Amino acid sequence: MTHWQQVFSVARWEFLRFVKLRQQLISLAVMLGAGLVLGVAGYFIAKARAKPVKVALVAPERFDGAVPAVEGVTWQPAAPDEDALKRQLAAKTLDGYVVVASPDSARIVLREKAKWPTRVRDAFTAARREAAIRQSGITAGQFAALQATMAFETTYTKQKRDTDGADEAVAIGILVLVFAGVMGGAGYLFTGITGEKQLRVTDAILSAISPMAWLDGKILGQLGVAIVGIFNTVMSLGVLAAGAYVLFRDKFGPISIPMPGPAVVVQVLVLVLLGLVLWYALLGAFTSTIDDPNDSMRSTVLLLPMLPMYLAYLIKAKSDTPLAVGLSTFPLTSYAALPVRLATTTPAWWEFPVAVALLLGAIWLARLLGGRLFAAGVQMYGKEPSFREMLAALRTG
Amino acid sequence: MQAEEPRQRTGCSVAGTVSIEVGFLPGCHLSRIGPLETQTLSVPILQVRDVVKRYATVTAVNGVSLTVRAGERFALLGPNGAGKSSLIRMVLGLTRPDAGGISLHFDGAITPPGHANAARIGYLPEERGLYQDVPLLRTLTYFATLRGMTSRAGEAAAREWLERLHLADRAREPVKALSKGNQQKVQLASALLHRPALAILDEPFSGLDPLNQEYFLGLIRDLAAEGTTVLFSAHQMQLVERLADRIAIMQAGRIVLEGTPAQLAAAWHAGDVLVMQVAPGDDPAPLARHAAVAAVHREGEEVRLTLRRGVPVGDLLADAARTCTIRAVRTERASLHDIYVQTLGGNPAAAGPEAA
Repeated sequence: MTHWQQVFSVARWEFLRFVKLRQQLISLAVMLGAGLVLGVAGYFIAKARAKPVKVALVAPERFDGAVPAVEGVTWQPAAPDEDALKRQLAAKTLDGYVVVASPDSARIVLREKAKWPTRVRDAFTAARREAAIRQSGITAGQFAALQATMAFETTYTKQKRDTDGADEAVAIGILVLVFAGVMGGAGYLFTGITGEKQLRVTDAILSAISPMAWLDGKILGQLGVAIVGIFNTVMSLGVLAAGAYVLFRDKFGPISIPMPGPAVVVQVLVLVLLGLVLWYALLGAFTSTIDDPNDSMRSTVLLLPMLPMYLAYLIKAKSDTPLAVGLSTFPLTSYAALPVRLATTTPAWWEFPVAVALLLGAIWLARLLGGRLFAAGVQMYGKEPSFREMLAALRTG
Repeated sequence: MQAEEPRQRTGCSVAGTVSIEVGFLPGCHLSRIGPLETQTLSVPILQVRDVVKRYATVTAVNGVSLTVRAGERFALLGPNGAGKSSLIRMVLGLTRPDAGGISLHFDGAITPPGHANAARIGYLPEERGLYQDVPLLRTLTYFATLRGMTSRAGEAAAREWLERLHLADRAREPVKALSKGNQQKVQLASALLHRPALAILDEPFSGLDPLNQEYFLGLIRDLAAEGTTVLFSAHQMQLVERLADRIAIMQAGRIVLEGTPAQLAAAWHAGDVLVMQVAPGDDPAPLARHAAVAAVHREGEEVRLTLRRGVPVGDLLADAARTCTIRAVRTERASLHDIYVQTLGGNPAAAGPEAA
């Protein structure tokens, strides 16, 4: 059996240990169900909002001008007295009534807070303004000129892509997905290795395959788990966002989903996957030195991959500084920093190939040294290897 | 018949069957015993030569040499910490010897310990464990694939073993749903389902109730009958006695006694055991000086006198009657337990049999 056959056996095992098809399908069904519920709820709420409200107008003759048409409001003939109007309100045959007190004031009465009074107020104010303009002899054009702001054109001399909100949203989206991938896979890697040490399965496995094959298989398997985790995150957020949009679309208005170009998507995928491999190799090796995860201070190492994400978030707004370029090429941070910069700016042409080359080199080194540490750590029960012993393992294998 | 060559110099990759006279290693404590009986045995499958393994300040294995021949059921005995598991881990390639050499012989080829032998070796570790949340069938199939079987062949073998272990109807249940005894069965199956040429079983009977011990004994016998060589360690002497073709007793990192059960008995001049019920205050120690007595052991009111083979008992009973108040007396054959205790001098921490 070759090294890679063993690796794929382990990878398949690791993947199926943590990704269960039935649970995945149930999760997807739940997410789709939640999205459907949100969407249906949004549809009915929007439909209810679209239904015109019936509003009675009392003493319209007191208004100095024609009664304006108001979107979503149907004017009803007013009952002879206010008590009758209130009875109509209580019986829900009327949604409200407007009592015009004078050309400058009116009173609105309705059962509960609603949005139509704002539209009524705006429409009457506009109608009154128009009437006043007509009375003063100012033309509509003159009035528009009075209202208009002075136009300024701003030009930036530094070459920079237009970093609007969409770009930042893409950057944050990438960070969220990287976070889901790193923490999901790293968490399973951690629980897997420490669990195997506690369950004492290591001897049985290491009598059949090499520590390196085991570690490689774990990395590959967790990479699959991470991809599923990223997919789940995309689905969850997508369904949630779609449902929320249906629910609140009249508040947000039409929105467009920012989508990076295919070249950027490919580059981001390559960087993120290589970055995950690197971090998994380091975390897998270090985790093997933990004897009991419940009382080991070394467990905090699991939080380390969050640091590059935090740094990448910081450079989001300053994506062309030397620090940002450095973080984009340094192997431990490039998988988070460069994708953010790909979304918010146009990095130099050489940055991607350099980052990939450095990542590949770092992965080779991490596998070599990580494999040695893993071989030593995973067979040590009852005590954790000291840092001196770990260094010795790294040196000699 | 020929005297056995020292194992350091025996041939390595001879196909077929050869005639070898079994004896003890030069340099071993018992080399003074000289050639023993002759047996026709098959070729070696495992050779260990002068192996030393040190951990920090402890020498776990100190110059051990042994040969396991194809088809044998070879027992490695010794108290906890004697070096058995350390030796086994080196044979598997989990750790490397600091000195000496280990070679494995499969199909006429000699290989060092390591993962290249994964398909030929089955291993039941002393530190046992299985993935608790994973169904039995998947667990066994996984271990089969790690030993070089395809998924399909591994699953077929797993089903066959579950059938054999009467666990077929629980194939989809997680391991944690099984009793400890059944978990041990699954663990044993995981070590054997790829039909290894050499099965290394580190304390296969530990933690089992008597019925399951019998069941395991049967399984291991069947395995050997199917042609698998078995190297095992155990503390259950009555089971070892029924199972082992050859035995090596280790102490403090060395092999202090090695041979067939009959050879071990002869090596210690062990024949019958005279068992006497004596009064609580009696001291049977002076009886050890009698020419016919190899060893004296007392457990409560029972005194066991292991007799030297071929030495006339003479006036032993009369001497015993002068020393103790004998209430009852019977004879037994010397058991492996007796030999083991004698070999280790009743004190696991003591040196070898010469000190006993």
